[in-house]
Amino acid sequence: MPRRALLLSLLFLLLPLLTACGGGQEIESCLFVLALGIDPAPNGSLTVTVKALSGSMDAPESGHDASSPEISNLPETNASSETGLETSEPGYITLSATATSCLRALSLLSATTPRTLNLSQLREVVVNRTLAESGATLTLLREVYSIFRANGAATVVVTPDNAGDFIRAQHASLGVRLSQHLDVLFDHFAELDTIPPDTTLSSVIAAMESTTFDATAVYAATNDFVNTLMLAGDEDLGRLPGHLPRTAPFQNEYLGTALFSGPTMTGVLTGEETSLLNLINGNSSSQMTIIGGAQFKVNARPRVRRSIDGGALRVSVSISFTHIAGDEEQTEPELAAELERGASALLARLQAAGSDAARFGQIAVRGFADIPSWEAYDWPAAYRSAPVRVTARVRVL
Amino acid sequence: MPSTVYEQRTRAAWRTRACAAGIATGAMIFSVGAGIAVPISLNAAQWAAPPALALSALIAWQAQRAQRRGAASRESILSRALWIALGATLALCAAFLACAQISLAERTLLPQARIYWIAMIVVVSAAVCARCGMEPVCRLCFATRYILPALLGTLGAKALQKGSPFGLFPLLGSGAGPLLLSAVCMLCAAAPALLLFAPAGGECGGPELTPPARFFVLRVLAGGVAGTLLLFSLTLCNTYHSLLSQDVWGERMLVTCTHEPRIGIPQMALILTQMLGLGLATAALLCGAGRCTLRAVKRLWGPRASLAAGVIPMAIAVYAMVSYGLDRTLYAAPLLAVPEIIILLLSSFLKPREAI
Repeated sequence: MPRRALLLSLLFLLLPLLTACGGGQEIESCLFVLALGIDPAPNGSLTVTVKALSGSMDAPESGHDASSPEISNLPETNASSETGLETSEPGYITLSATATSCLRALSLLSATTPRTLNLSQLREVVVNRTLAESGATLTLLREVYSIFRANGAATVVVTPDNAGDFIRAQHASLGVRLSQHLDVLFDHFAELDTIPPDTTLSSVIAAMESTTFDATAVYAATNDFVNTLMLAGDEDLGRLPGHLPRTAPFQNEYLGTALFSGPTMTGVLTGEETSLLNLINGNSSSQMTIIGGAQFKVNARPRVRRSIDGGALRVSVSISFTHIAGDEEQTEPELAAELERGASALLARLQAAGSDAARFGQIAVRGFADIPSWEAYDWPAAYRSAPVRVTARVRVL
Repeated sequence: MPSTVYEQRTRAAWRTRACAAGIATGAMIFSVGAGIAVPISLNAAQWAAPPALALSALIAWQAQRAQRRGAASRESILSRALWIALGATLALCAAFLACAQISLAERTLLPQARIYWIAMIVVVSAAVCARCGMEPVCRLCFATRYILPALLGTLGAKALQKGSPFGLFPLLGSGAGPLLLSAVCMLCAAAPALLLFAPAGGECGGPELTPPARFFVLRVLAGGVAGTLLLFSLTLCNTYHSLLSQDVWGERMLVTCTHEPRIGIPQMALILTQMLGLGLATAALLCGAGRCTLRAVKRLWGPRASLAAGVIPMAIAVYAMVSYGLDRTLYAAPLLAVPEIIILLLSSFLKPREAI
């Protein structure tokens, strides 16, 4: 009898070995896409640009005969070379296709590329701002996620520039490959609190479908280092990306938040405002901060409490700093008052944009017994007109 | 307390049988819940499970009384019919759980495989495992009684990590009416507890050595509660809008946070643990179906053929479900509550000669 039990255990343990024999794909037969960009095209079409692994360390030739077929299916593509072929850095290739929908464009790419399009390693989905403001984002992202089984952890980025050019300007750098470069990039900016959390493809889709909170995406732009703008005031990150006074091998700047109300983009926040939004949501992870001329270290995770009291949106923040360097120019009450003003102004902006990025809807829904009664309640209107109360307590050790 | 070695072995055999029934009940609650209760009640599906838990406890209690009564020396036509009905119910439960395995595997592990190949692998593996006999299968269920819930709890909690309880509110989900409908549909999830009615073999000793009712009830309830908690994790992971958009059974059984999906080894380990639980439950139910059929027609068939009497109907049922569409046949699952309640009532009111 124990031998039979052992045999049975062995049979169960062997079952997982069968998981690989039902449809394996050779790695060489796949085109692994790392970045995907979506732009509007003439006549209501869409141009989808992908940056993928080429499988070769040599850059592809940039010239070709006039009789050679082009990869892009429309003459007016965003190919960077005069001949119409996409030029790429070693190891990566950029392709684009234009069609009436994102689905058809990706299908066209699949049909015309001698490899199977594989979005399982996708790191970045870049959407042009015009498309995001038209409310088409949810449909586009759903097509990419559900039908092409894209990596749900890919970051959604909105750019005012051409999304195809944005990902063309994305290069592997600092000794790491592009996929790792993007992973490290988003982790780094998330630690600085200059980009919002919850910007993965699956969470953005869930937020756009939800009636209890709204989506946020990373806001980014390409800086051509020609028309840079000097910063005014003391806020280093109180700007939008694209014109920061700097030079670097990395043209793309990720700074700020694209706000959505449902599936439609309705506003943007600067890097500074994004840090404040992260603080209000209890997602603040930065440990050092500069206020006035002094540097402070955050002692522990700020305690934030959000509630809805008598129809008013209340936020209570308690934060403790340790003074590290520089001269303290403000007292604790002054710091607290400044924090209250900033948070109140931010919440007012969110209300004006109709974006519940602070997730007060998740608190409001607790007062309803079932979904029909919640959906009958006009939460968006109540949210826009609700008064805001922010209280802050700051301790400097 | 059991004093002799023989009594201890008998009690151990009943313990393994009760564990198998508990795992099967938990697997059925989760599968039916994800398949039927979630589309109806959305994020309140877990509140529809308590009636099924109560019914499974009642079945376990009544099974103990039936085992205590012992078997009749000569089976009447009515008792043979009841044994066949019980065997058929267990075989259908096994088919249902096999379909749950197929749907989950098709959605996660083998997205590019043909569904009939997956069905064949699942049916053959269940048959091969059941061929070893009821006692080894029950012993394996007993051996995993802590590992399974611990793995499901740890890996499920990992999927929830960093995610706030998005889907908890509104508490009643789609409303009281849909919740009541879900609760009625989920009564069929108590059917695997009928495994305890299956004839006790020599390893279980005589009727006088049958443990008390709470022995069975607690173990069945423990399995059921584990299945309910796993169902609860589905609603914690997703908003009700996300649950609305999931129209594939296998996709609904995937415990992954839409807020922050965790792909990789922990997610794969969770899926394999779910598959293991479903596989054990299917094999145990098949063994039970075979024993019931053997009891009804033992003069016609030998012990080896009795297993075929469970596997063949199960394979036919699985083929029919896969051909017709797994999601469509889901809605026939609540009909399993009919034979379940009839067997429960008949075992309560019939005389010992005719009773199961």
